[in-house]
Amino acid sequence: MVYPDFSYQKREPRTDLPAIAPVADRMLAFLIDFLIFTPVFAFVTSGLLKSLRTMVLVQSDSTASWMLWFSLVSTWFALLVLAEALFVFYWGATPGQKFLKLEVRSYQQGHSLDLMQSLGRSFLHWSSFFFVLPVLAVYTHPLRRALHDRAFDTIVVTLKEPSDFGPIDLERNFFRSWSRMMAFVGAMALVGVSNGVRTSYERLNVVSNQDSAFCEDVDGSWKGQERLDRATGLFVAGLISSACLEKEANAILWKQEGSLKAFAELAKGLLNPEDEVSRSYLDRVCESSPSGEACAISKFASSTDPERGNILRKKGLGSLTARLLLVRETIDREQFASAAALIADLRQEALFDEYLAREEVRNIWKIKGKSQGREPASSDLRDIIRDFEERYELR
Amino acid sequence: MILPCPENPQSWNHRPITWMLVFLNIAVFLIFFADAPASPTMDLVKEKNLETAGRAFLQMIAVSPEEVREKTPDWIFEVSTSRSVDLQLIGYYAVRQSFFLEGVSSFAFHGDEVALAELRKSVATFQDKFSEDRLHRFGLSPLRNQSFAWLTYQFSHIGFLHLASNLVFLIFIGWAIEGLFGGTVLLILYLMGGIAGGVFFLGLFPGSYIPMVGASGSVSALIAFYALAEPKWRIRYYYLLFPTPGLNGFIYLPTLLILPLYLLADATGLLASPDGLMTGVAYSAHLGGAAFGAIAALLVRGLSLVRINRTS
Repeated sequence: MVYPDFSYQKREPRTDLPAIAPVADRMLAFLIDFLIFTPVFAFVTSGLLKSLRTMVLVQSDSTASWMLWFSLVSTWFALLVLAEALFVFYWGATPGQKFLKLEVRSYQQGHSLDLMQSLGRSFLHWSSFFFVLPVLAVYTHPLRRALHDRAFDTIVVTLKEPSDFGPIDLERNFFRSWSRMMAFVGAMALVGVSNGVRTSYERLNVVSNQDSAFCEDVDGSWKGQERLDRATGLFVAGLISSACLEKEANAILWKQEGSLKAFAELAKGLLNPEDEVSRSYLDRVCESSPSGEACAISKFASSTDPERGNILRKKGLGSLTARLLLVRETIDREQFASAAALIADLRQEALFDEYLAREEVRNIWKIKGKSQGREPASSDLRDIIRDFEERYELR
Repeated sequence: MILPCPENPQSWNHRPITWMLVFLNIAVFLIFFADAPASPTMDLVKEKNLETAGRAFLQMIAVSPEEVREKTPDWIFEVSTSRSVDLQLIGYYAVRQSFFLEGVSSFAFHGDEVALAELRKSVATFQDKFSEDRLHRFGLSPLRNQSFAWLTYQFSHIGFLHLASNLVFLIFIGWAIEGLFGGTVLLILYLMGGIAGGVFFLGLFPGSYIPMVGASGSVSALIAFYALAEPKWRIRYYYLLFPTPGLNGFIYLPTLLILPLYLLADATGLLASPDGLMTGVAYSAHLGGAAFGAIAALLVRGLSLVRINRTS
């Protein structure tokens, strides 16, 4: 029996010039391959896509979300490499190249590729897309061989006539200017991407209380009524946003019952007193707690009476919110001495120093405006101005 | 860019049924939908209402029967209930469920009474205006038992882009089918394909409050029919890679290759959509229409039911 000879068959190197595939045909073949492979791969990975889309909606910043992204990109990369490698190995061309009558052949001998050559070429082909320039080398190489072709000794030829004659000077110059620009853009992109990766990594490692029901701008050591009162006071002073106060109020309204609920409704009512919905909150406060301080504050906020400050004074000024609101009201009503006393009282809360300083300045301006630049007649008002000037070393 | 570009422009005059269908779609859009008032869902989907709806939905689902909880997607129970955006997402799902909208007015919720009152008001407004809204009058919905909706939804579109995207395919594929098989076959495929698409949509989303409109089920039937009835036919496409010589031109690609990929993309869209959150594209209707078109094509080829005219 004569067994077939499986040893390597040495072939003579080719001496003829191959029919070079035009770049336009290669680009069109790539477009057709994209149109074919994309829906097929998307269908194959639809389960992973569904998990990723759900995770993006549910927990976009989580480690699991990033792992899913990485899995999807890796799977697509692997499928692309495998699909192109198998098509080129069995058919000599991808489907798009087949339509355009192109073939991938070994450069030295002109025959079809073996499996490892095909896999390696395909891997380098898709990897080089991350760097763009190796693929664009088809514009400069005389035989239109990009990096993956030269590395694995292949060439893309056309079965049509006429074939390509190699790059012209315009293409070479175009590539040179583009490569300089892309190198600069690539360096910037690298800096941006590394910054983005670093920021994302830090975000994943930082213990964040974004998942907390309470606002992170409010000190976590405060609890219950004190917390809500201070949060509302911070909002009145302009030191936290309305979204923050709303989050604090919602945490109470949707989870807790009892006396705190009235204050939470008050907080939501103070967010935008001009708004009809906010007024509904203010109206509700007195329904749940008619004798509480929250009801008094809500009546104060809803009233347009010039003497509305008396509503709070009669009730007694227990909460920070009431005192802060009264400071502003008292200055607007030109009750300067009362305003100065309130500000002095509130100075025990270091939290509101900046706000109180602003209100104090406003108070002084109003005093001086009313006195029309002269010394005020009242000794109380003169004392107020002197204390202000001493505190801020204006004398 | 690559677009279909059929040959022989003079043959466009001999496609009366295609032009009639195009005209009907455009006319219905211009008369009923071009200047339609804002949808009654506008107030319902405001951020504040969605957040309240999300919280309310979680309270309602906690005491619902087991069969209702089983139909609820798992991600609803995994989402954080502390973040506003997550609660809005749950609310977005909730306002599309008929059992939630119908139960809002009577369920004993606890929490922010003012916000809950606003939500109830928005839901009541929505339900009052529901029957007057054109989308809900002409669209196909499981909650409205109107036989004429099976036809009217095929000619209704919510916006210009929606209309244009369907008309592009209707013109090119309808032209091809009418030329080969005649206007009667085209008309039957369009209408029955739309009905098949509607059956699939209602089968997969039986409790949805959102109606379906559009000719995409019908168009999918035409695409599938053409791909299988004439698998070796080639369609001319115009491609534009760059506006320089050599990088744009015409290419002929077989129907059996390109057109089914369009349907594969629909199947992916359906399988890859998160549970309970429709993307605005009725993939199920596309697939239903395509299934009808495919069966019709196989019957036509197998039983030689229709004489094919290959000269026009």
